[in-house]
This record gives sequence, structure tokens and C-alpha cells, in this order.
Amino acid sequence: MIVLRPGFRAALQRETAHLRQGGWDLAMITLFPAAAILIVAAMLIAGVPRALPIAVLDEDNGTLSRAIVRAVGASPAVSITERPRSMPEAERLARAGRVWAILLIPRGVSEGLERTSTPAIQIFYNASFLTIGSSAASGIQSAVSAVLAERGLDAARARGLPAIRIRPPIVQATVLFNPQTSFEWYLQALIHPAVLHLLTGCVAVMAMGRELQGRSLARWKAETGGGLPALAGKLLPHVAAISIWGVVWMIWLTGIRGWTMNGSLLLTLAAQALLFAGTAAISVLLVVAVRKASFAFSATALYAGSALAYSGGTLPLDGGSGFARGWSEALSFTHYLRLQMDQFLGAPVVVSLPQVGVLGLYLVVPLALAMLLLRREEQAE
Amino acid sequence: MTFAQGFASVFRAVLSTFALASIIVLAVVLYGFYYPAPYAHQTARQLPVVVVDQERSGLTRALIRKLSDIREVRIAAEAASPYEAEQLVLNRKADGVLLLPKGLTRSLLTGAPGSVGGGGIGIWVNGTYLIRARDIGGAIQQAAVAVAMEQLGPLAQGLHLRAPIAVVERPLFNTREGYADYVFPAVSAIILQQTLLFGTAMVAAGRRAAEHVLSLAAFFGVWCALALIGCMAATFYFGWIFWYQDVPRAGNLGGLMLAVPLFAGAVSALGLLLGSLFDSADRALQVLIPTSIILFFLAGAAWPLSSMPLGVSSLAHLSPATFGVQAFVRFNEMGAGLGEVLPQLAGLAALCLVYGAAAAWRLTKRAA
Repeated sequence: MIVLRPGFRAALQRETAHLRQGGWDLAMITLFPAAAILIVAAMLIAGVPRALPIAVLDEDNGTLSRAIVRAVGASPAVSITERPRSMPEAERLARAGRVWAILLIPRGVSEGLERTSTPAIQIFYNASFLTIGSSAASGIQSAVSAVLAERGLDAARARGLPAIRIRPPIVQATVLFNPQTSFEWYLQALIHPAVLHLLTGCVAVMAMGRELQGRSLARWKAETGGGLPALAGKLLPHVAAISIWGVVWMIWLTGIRGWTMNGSLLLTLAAQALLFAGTAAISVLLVVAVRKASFAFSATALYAGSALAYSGGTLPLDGGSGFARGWSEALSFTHYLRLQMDQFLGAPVVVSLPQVGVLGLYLVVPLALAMLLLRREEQAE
Repeated sequence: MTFAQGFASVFRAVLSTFALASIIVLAVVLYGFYYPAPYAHQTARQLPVVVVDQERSGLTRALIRKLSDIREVRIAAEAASPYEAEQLVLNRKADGVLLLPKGLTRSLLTGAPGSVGGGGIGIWVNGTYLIRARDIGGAIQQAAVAVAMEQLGPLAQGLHLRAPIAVVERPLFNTREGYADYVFPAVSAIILQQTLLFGTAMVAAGRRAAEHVLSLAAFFGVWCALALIGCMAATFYFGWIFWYQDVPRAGNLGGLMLAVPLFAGAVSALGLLLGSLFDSADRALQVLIPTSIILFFLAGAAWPLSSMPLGVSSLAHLSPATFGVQAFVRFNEMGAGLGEVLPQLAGLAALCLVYGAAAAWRLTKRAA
């Protein structure tokens, strides 16, 4: 005879009955992730920063410099909003944050094509906002280089100078797997799993913490059996709901916004569900171990809230301190993100299998420890 | 309850409730060390790159030597063909490919087209990690240009050729172009906001659960005490942590003295208001902690506020940290004058008034 596991089913029914009452716990796995996906999707809809305000200071005011200014003005990345008369004035604009970068074309550039000592064209950019400032700078840089390449030869030829000059090597840079260099795709791929990871942690702490009476889980154990089936039944609705939101986000990113998943979509979604299940297991372990929801919340904020910073998704950790690298490897999110990015790239599934194994450990080990703690307490009683 | 009693009750709560103290004091201190750690090395280092050298000349060998010297990349392997190199990237042995085609030296001197469009150097980088891709691309490009000019310069002089006009990029304010120097000052506003918000909301939610109704004077006492804690945390960050972490700081201390109380006032008022909506202190944490990551990206440090749709950027400004990041970074790192940060200060003051009034209304209302 097949033995139904009443523990699992009863626990599941108990949890869904609580969620059906509505209120905050239901909202946190429905409205909250929906709002999060909506806000982040809308925030990044522009794809790449466009029309970043910049200042241009043209001290030369010759034909070449005017051509440069026209080309920069036509660049979609930046928009010339200020024409200061001096460098101090331009710097004031940068300090006030009204421009992200300053293009300085010094006197003598137009003749410089024929002179031996050439003044350099300078681009100052706001590195306090490193990514935005350097986006503005590279927008200016590419417009300026295009004009110099084109005009340089013409100008020399027109004056009967030999047309040959050594050129800096043409470097043809291709960004693989994200040819539009879309910040939207990249940031979406970082932000969404991180937000859902943190949310799962908090939701699961609440689900388990709700059962605490003072520091005792005795009532919960009496009602549900308190074993592994009881834990699984409790966590399943939360993990399932958030995994579904993960799928919604993936449909938005790959189906609607068009980032191609070159590798296995199924593997990535499975790994994501595994990440969330493991996160919920860690929350349970925290509550069972310290018997204080507020402490479990703080711990979750600490490890899951900063998981993105430690994941190497923005600044790679090669070259980081031993602590930073070790802690990065200890966090489940790091392993998920590595798998996800590798699958976007199209790495063979074999390359990602170790990550799946590691993510599995984050589910099994915390659950086993939590069970052990619960059992030991029982024996003590 | 009087103002003084309200004021004192907050400090009593912090000292007697470990959960509150751990968030409003211990977490603040801990994050000051914990958060900058993964960024402390400031720049990408030793990213693996595969080289495909089809020319094997003095120039390409010099270029490869130069690349193995620079900090950002390391040469993980040499591949015989672009195909083989791509397989190495797919199998995650490398993040970038550098192709030096046959005829590179000749085409640099004569401008004649080589085998890759225009006779240039080819770089392919893994774009799934976009920031990493940009670092690798930029580093290789700079090295390639430098080596080519170095090697061809003397030869060119003999032929009476001249160097082209140089274009120089210079970073302002964060002159090391350090990643920690960029991320940490922005994140610190989020850390200060979130820890104060969690603590404040716990205080308010705890009071609501105990059905405490405050007199107006006591409300101001509570608010002032919480704002004072926020000011002390901010002073600790901008004064000591920033010095310890050695990020650009103290550009305009006078401006900070004005911005910090406005920020702390707005955050604590928002915390009191939100806390009055929750049924318990734990609920405050459950709902507010998951907002942290989104609020960081909404603050306009990683993605410009001007590139967000109007609805989103308006929403972003409801979080005091958005004005906070913009004001603190300008005062700390960029050394802006008071007049240059006026819009952000006015925004913080407005949030202070609106959230303060709403919180006062919620917390002093007699329960029906």
C-alpha cells in the first residue's frame, strides 16, 4: 500500500490556508515581486543611457573643432547642454552634477593636423558616478575619433602634404553575446535574481518565525509533526510562488526584450528554483537555530542583501582579498549567477553541472542541520 | 508623555532591546567594513584572455609581452585559430579573445587593408558581464595602441610621418577610477537609510502592537531621538569609515552638516510612518529588507535618473536615499558648493515635512 505522507500534505494545507487569509504574507509573494519586476523593467527600458548631458568648451573654434562639436552633438549617447566659456566654469557645472563629462578642444587643434606638436583633445568625466560618467566619455570619444580619422587625411591632402601618416591601429572590438552592449539586459540579469533571492530569504524567515511562541516551536511540532515533510509543506508555496515570478522575469528578459539564452533555459530556471529553495532552507535553519525572527532577518539582510556585491557580477573578485573571495564562494547566489551568465553565453551544460551540485548542497545541508537541531531538542525534552 | 520622555524612551529601547540595537548600531558598524570588501581591489585584475597570433612578428610579440604586464588581463592561453579561441571562451577558460591577423604590421604602416576589416586588431569579449567586458576591451585597446606607436614611432620618424592628434580621457573627482570609490559612497547612503528605516519602523510597529498613543510633544521627542541616531551613524561613516576605507571625502563639510540632519529626519519620519502600518516589528523587517537592492538602483548611481521613465524617477525620489546619494556624493567626493546641491537639499526638506506630518498624524491619533 502506498503510504501518503500526511505530514507533508497537512503542512501544505495549513500554509496555504494561512496564505488564503490574505494580508502581508500573501502580498509578499504576489504583489511585492510583481511590483519589483515592473519597477525594474520600467527603470531600464531605455536599454543604454542616452542623451547624457555634457559640456563642450571649444577654445579653438576652427573648422575641425566645429566638425567635432557637430559630430558629438549628433551622437545619441550624449547631448550638449552647456557651452561654458572657461574650464573653471565647466568644472563648476560638473561639480553641480549638471553635466557628466566635459569635452575640451584646445586652441591650435585645427592647425594641429599639420603641426608637429599637437595639442591633445581632452575629455573629463565624472568618475564619482563611474559607469554613467564613462558611458558619456566613451560616447564623446567615439564621435571625436570618427571625425579625426576622416578629417585628418583630407586636411593633409588638401594642403599638398603627403597623405601617409602612421595611424593608431584600428581595433575592432566586438562584444559577444550582448552585441548591443545593452545595460538593460546586463543589469536585469543581475538585479532580478538578487531581489528574488533576498525576498525568498525574508519570506521564509517570516513563515518559520510565525510559528515561534517566544522561543518555542513546540506548538508547531505538535500540529504538523515537525519533521522534514512538515518543513517541505511549509516552504513549498513560498518557493513555488517566487520561482514562478522568476519565470515571469525570464520571459520578459528573453521572450519580450530579446536577450538570447544561448545555453539551456530549462537548466537556468531549474537552478533558479533550486537557489530559492536553498535560500528558504537557510532561513529555516536560522530561525530554528537562534529562535528569534529579528536576528534571522538581520542575518538574511546581511548575506542575501549583499550577495550581488560579492557575486563578482559587477567587479570580478580576482585580485580581491582572501576574505572577499572566500565569502563569495560561500554564498549560494554567486554559484547561481555564474551558472546563469554561463548559460546566457552558451556554455556546455557540463560546465554548469558543478554549480547545480553546489546549489543542491545549499538545500540539503541547512535542512539536515535544522532537522538535527529540532530532533536534539526533542530528546532533551 | 513629554518631549524629553519620548526622546529618552528611544534610547532606552535601543539599550534594552538587543534586536533593535543590533540593527541600528551593530549592523551600521559592520556594513562599513563588510560592504567595501569585495570592491577594495578597486579595478578588474587578471581577467583571462586568449591570444590568436597569426602574424608572429616583432610587433605582435611585443604586444603580447605588454599584455602580460598589465594589471587588468592575463594571457590564459594561445590558440591557433579564432574558432579554437571561441571554444575556450564557451568553456569558460577565458573572458576575451585577441586576434592579431597576418599583415598587421604592414597595414599599420601603409594603411593597406589586412585580413580583418581594415587591417586592424580584433577583440572579442564576453558581453554577458558587461562591465568586465568594457574593462578587458579598454585595457587591450590601450596596450595595443601604445605598443604600435612605440614600435612604429622611430620607423615612422624616418619616413617623416607624424603622430595623429591625441584624445585623452581624464577622470574627475574619483581620480583613481576605483570601483570601491564609486560604489561605496553611493551604497553608504542606502546602508544608512535602510538600517535607520528598519530600526525606526520596528520602534513604531512595536508601539502600535502595544497600542501606544503618543502626545504630539512625545512624537517630536521620539522623532528627534531617531534622527539623532541617524546623524551619528552618518557622521561615523563620512568621518571615520570613509577615512579608514580611503574613499574621496570631506569635499564640503559645511554642506554635509546641513544635508545629514535633513536626510536623517526624512528617513526616520518615513520609518515611523511605515512602521505605523505594520502589525509587528518582524513585519517591518520582512517588508522593508527586500526593498534594499531595488532602492540602490533607483538612487541613480548605477543607472542615470534621467534615463528612467518619469513615473519611475518620481517614485525613486520618494526614497530619501535618492536625494541622499545625489547630495552626499556631491558634497563628499565632488566638493560641490551649497548652491549646487540646493535642489537635493530642498527635496530632502520637503520629504522631511511631508513624512513628518503624516507620521505625526498616524502616531498621535487615538485608536478608534
